[in-house]
Amino acid sequence: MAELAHGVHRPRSFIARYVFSTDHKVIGIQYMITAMFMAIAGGALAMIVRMQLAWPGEKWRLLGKMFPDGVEGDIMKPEFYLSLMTMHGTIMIFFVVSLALIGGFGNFLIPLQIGARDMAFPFLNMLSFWTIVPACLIMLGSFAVEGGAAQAGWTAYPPLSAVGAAVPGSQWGQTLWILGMALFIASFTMGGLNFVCTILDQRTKGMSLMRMPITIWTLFISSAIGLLAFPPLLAAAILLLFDRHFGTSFFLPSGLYFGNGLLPNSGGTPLLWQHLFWFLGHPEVYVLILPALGITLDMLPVFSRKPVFGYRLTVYCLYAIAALSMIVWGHHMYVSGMSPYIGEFFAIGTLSITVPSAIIGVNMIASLWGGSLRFPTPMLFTIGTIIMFGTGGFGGIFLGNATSDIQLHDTYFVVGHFHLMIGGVTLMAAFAGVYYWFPKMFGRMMNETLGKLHFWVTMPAFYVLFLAQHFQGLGGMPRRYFDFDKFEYLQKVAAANLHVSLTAFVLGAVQFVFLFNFFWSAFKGARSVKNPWCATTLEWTEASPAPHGNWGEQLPEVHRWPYDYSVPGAAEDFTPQTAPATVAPVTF
Amino acid sequence: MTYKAYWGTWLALLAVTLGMIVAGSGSVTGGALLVLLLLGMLVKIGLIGGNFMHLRSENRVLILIVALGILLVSIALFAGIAVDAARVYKLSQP
Amino acid sequence: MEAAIETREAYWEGGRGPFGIGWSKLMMWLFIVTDGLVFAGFLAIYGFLRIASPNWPDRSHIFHLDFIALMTFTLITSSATMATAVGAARKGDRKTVGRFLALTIVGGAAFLGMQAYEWSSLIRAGATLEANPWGAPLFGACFFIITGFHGSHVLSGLIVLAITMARSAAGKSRPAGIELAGLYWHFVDLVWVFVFTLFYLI
Repeated sequence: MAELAHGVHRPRSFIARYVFSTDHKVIGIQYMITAMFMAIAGGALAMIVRMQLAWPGEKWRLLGKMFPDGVEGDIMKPEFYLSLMTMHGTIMIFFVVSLALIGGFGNFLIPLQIGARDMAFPFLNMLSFWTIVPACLIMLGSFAVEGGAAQAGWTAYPPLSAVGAAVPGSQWGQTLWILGMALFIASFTMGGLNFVCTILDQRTKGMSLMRMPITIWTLFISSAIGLLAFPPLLAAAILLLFDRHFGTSFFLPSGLYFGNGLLPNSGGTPLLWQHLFWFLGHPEVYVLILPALGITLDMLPVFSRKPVFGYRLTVYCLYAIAALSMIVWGHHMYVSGMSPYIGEFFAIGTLSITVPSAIIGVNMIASLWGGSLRFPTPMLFTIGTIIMFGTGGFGGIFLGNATSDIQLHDTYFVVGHFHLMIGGVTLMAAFAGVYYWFPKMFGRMMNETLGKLHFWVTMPAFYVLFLAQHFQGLGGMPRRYFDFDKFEYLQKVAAANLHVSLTAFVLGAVQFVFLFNFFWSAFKGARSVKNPWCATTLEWTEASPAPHGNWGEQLPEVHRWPYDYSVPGAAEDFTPQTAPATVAPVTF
Repeated sequence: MTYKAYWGTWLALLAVTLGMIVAGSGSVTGGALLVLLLLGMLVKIGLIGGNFMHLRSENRVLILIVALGILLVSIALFAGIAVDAARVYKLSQP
Repeated sequence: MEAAIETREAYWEGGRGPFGIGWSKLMMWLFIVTDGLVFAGFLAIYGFLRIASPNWPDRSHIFHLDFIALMTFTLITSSATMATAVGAARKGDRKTVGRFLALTIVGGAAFLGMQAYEWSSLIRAGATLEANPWGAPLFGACFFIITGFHGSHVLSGLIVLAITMARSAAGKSRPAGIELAGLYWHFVDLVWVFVFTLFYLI
């Protein structure tokens, strides 16, 4: 049925092939390049933030020219700093990591790894990408409107986000932020529905659920969590728009003073927004991190030449994480005035989520045990992911516990923690994935020397940067502050800001090595063979780069699970999923 | 399903609705009313989903996905925030 | 027993849809789940505000239950006519399909008209998004936004139904297409069950 619907014909014109393409591989690469572009933007914002923190009050001539309102007389205004960190968070979480991992790898890998011609709804897939593009432009463009971009943080807490007069960015910037997020949610919903339908319905013959690569499992579960968690936020965002523009007060209590005037609102509470926001916000971090873990677990067998450890257990743990992630959102709100009794419940939930997470972590390490390890660039980044996951996870235990969180809340400890987790783990895995699947995307290999340089600078820089922030947080340094000069008690920890900033600049700069490597290799890299890593999953049975419509006449048939490495009695140390039982015994 | 079954469902829906309205207009009050109305609501949802939307004859896993997807997530969300609603109410009392 | 287990496992083996339904129907169901959760978000917020507000108005002073009952009757009936149309489409009876789709559209339009009447009478009584004469100001906001969001779904459902009817009359629609439109229409009815119970009765 599916084969007939899509056919094998190829679109001819340039626009149909590369711009408004319905081919999942092109869309995946489009997502990835968009994510890279947004990463440059979001990264630049982070660099400006770090410039301000390293040398507060310094004059910046170039910035003064670029942002005459926000950097008045070449000196940064506090509200501009708020815009910077708000948009850095929003762009990095929603428009870089989500785009690269879910949009990029999801689109590229799902049909190739389950043996489908394309997504279940190719047109919807294209629509999903072309909804993201205006969302990106709106987010970036919000810097140019009066008052600057949104300043209420990526969490958009009211009243800053609900009262237009609160800060300059609460006017147009915040409206555009909500609009951009609405488009993002629309796009994610289209993409997520497509992913779930495709994974359930389009698997090729023999590809039972328990024979899917773990990447597909994680993308499936991520999409499902996203589909369940985003709609309530959409409802809340609509109400926030009403609060902003139509005088309702869902998120505004009575007795708010702004600009020497008492606001007329009454009856609502910002607590309600926090609940609704984190009802999405917490599952969202699992939406981001699960595909990263999936990519990691998929890559470990390839470079250790042995089956992945604990496949079934990992899948069950993914389910457990998904279920638990929906009921732990309150651990972001321990100091919000939330009922302490329900806080207890959220703390227990949060600490129990560490169990399946730790099992997955142990499975990753056990997958390395006793293997014959190889260390090309993707493997280096994979090991980097495991290390970050371990370290970042430990920080999470302190933050998930109400008692310690009340001390650490809103300090740089939190900043360091989530940068290791949804910054470090996801980006490391995304880099690993790009180095690994690059031959399938462009038919060429990425440069190994540049790749290793990229890793050996990125990894230590990430660590120095964000571990230092953990310690600054333990010292009580609050996040989101524009200038620490005025606080006597913080002088000791704030002194580290200069070093943190310098490391950040190194980290930012070395990413250009990656970008150069990516675009240079796409055109000039060494030609790749069909299966350069000697891997078993389905995508490596197709030519590099994979043609439109995947696998020509006959779809592959699957006879075994995806981790048959070093099967006793097999001729080679890897047995592709398509190899029948006559080639090597079926183990799983 | 036959046309008869559809219109039988229609009659049942009307009957439940009527019962809920009668209960709601004063004959039952307090917690009993709440339980009664929520039960009536669930029965109606079951009738519409099962008979009109043919969920009854679908695969069991699909039924679970749809029913649990909506119900469990809604309950989790509401249970999480309702405690705080009661707290906000209590704090607003002098 | 053994055979039953085997067939169930075969569902998940790949090479066929595990639910025995096409992806467009699966997609519709998943969409219904997500759209339903948007309503769940609205209703949860309404529930929160209602519990938290000390002066939430007494609904029996505001709504005329007999009128709301009439609205509910109309919508339930239109759902039944829709189900009949879907059943007829499966039997290939195009005439009945057209007739009952038309009845469904009439029912939906009547519902929207009654909702417009209810809105206008409440607005005339002084209810706005910002305030109302009966108590907590958020009552008006919740009422207009939730019923308005539902009304917009009814409206989009009517558009879908009109397109389906035109296609069916032209002989271009398959039974599966009519079934999808039907699923959406029943979903709109389903949401009204929640709104009716939680907003008008409790």
